[in-house]
Amino acid sequence: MNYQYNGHLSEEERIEVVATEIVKQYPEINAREAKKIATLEGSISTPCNFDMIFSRLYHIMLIMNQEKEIVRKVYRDLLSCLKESPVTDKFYFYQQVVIEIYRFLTGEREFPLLEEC
Amino acid sequence: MFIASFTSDTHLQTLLREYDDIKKEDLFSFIGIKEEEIKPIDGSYSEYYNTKFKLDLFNIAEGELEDCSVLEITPEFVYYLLRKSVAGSDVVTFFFESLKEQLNYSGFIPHSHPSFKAVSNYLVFNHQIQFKKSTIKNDFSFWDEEDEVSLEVKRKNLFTKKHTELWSLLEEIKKKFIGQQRLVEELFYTMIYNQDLASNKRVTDGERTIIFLDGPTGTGKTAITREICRKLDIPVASASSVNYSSTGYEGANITDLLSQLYQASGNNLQLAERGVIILDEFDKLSDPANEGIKMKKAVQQQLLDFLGGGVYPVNIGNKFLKTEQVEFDTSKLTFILLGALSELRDKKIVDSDIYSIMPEDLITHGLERELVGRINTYLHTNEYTKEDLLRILKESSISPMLSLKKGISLYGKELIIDEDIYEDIVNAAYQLHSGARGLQTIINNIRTSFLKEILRGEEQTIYLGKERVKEDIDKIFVRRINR
Repeated sequence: MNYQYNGHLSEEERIEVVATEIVKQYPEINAREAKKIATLEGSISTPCNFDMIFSRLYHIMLIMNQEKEIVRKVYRDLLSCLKESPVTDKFYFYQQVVIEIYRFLTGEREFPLLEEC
Repeated sequence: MFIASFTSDTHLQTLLREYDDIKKEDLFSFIGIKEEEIKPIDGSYSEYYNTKFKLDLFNIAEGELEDCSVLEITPEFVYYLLRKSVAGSDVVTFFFESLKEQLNYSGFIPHSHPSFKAVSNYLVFNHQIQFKKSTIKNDFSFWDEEDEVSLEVKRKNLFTKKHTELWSLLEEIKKKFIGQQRLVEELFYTMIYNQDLASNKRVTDGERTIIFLDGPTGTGKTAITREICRKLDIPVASASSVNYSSTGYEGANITDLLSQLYQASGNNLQLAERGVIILDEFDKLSDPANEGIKMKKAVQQQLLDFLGGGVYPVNIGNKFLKTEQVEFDTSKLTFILLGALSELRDKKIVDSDIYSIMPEDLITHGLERELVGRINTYLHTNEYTKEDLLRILKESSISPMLSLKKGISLYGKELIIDEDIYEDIVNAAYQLHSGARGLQTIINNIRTSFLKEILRGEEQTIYLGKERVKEDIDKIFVRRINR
């Protein structure tokens, strides 16, 4: 997925750009849902890093959590990105979130909010 | 209303104070109204002054000054208009005669001015491309004399219209990037100058403006550059200088940037060759701690060749299908080299906030003399004050608070904001020392903490008050201390 710089765009334009990137990567998601997801991440005003990747993929799963097949697909993408990401101070937090999402996928809990991890 | 708005300008108030014998009644009388006829304005005077009043003046100005372009409504410019439209009024004559030495009509430029010429040429050039395209598309005919004549007519019409549009674009960008208006203006003109040059068949080495733009992190270096390019329809490619190695860029080749430009221009080589290349973190090329100094020097040498201009073969097309090669001439490209230069700036700011980066500073910093020699324009963004951050948060169209509000409304809920929180957010963002990005960090944290209420809450309104903001800010600072 592209994580195009959008720090100079107005909110409407930014949402449009991010939603297009989401739909391009996951065509199962409709434009309306993609726009709702786009509102949950901040603007991208630095070169892309894992925090941004995590934020986008997490919010996709959060909004689409009623459709487990999509969540499963995004979850796999998140896992492969996490494997390649550098170990920063947030790494263990991300790892915890991933474990909780796995528990959601196996029906052990509802979709985790970041505050609960 | 006219006078009320007029006198809300602080610059003008200062001038008025210097001339004690000018009475308010006198000012009213020359436009033929009485004080009791003046009605209060809905909303604030400054809001009225910055919107409707200025717009009215621009409209008047367009009619009055056929041979000039209005850039900005300054008090000096208002005097000029008054003098023209109310010629004979004693008051205006008095003002004008007394102040004319100080007035330079800074709000507009005559058509003979070099900047104006550059803008005109740029527009005409753009129009030529559009016109040629439409000719070919519509009737497949070649350029002939008749076309030349009709072009002249069209050019004239378009010229007048587009010209006003260009200045309004500049105004829009300036409004968006609060606190950086001066940089916006300088960069905008420089881009137009380079676009004008690029319309020539051949651009001599050294003619182009190669820009070094420094400024603290989060002050909008990249955002402003990208926005100006977007508004002027100039394709952009960007990369971080630290990703280069002497053998290539992230395992690929430097010409990848040219491919990026080609794609950004919609596969239009002519447009791509006039594009902009942004090299971020340019100052890191001289940072020995980041990578071996020998390697850095090799990369600088490569960049030097690239900046010098030449023809590079560039692969285009889908990598899975057949690729083609085009000859990409880099002599017309605009290069913008970005750098935070934090340490250097700290060294230079000793007694005051004013500093200037000289070529010698960059050489001392570790950049190659020949490379620095290529740079002929030095611009910088200003560090944001708390007042700037407050205005960004409240007024800018890219304010993260606006983004939060709109986001929540997409979920059918309304965000009620306590006025007192703005100051708390600004103070915390200021402490983060990351410019406007600090505001974004705090709002992102607030958004995350609201997720439950946004997605699963029953209430239709969400209240953002002092206590809540404090909690979220504390979380950021506790995390930072823990690090």
